[in-house]
Amino acid sequence: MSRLTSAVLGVAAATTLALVAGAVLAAPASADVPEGWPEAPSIDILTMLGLFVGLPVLMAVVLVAFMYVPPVVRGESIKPGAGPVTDQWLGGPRRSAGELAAPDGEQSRAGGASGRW
Amino acid sequence: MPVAAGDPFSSAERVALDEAMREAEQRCRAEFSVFVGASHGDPRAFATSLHNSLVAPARSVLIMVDPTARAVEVVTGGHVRRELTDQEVELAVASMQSDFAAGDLAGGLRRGIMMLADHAVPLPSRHEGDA
Repeated sequence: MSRLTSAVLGVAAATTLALVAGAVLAAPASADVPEGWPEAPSIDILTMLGLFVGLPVLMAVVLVAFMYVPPVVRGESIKPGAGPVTDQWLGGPRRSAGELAAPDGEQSRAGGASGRW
Repeated sequence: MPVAAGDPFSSAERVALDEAMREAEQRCRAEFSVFVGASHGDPRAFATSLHNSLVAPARSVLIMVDPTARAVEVVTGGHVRRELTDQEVELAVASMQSDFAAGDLAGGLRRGIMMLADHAVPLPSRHEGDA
């Protein structure tokens, strides 16, 4: 290994060490309040909790209420992924699918149409 | 008012559908019936079974919708068919299909019922308002 290579490696190692040490030992920046500025009022823990926890929670509750209250008022289901549909027969006789008449045969005079979507 | 599990309609939608069916029946003198649920076997055969189980199949129009199979069937009785042709039923089915595809089951049914009733009105009555 040449002297030049050793020197470059040494400089690189020293620079890396300095950067790592700087990052590890770095303290948060702080400064005194400049002269003439009013002293910042101290905030107690309760106010701080209210500001940083209570307010976001309150906003989340309001957003959820905006989302779910209108469908609930309209009587709609708010369940995600509604399950299979229960059979509904409006204007039909009171009997179950097991008691149905036979389907139409070739001689049927019934008409209509079919569709899929 | 909460919706029961698996119920495809809210109470407001059910009321609107009942009103649409009543209005349609008064308009064209045919009986309307709507089945929403699982069709057992072939949807057309199941729909005709439902239709044949009605009190007066010849004077009835049955709309069957299977949301899971994405199938809609309209069956018209022999008497109703004199006024309501299969081509006119196809138009109503196409309208319902597009509404169902957009997720509007109750609205599609309501509009479909009214379309069917408009076409099922006996011919002299259709022109009563023109005189």
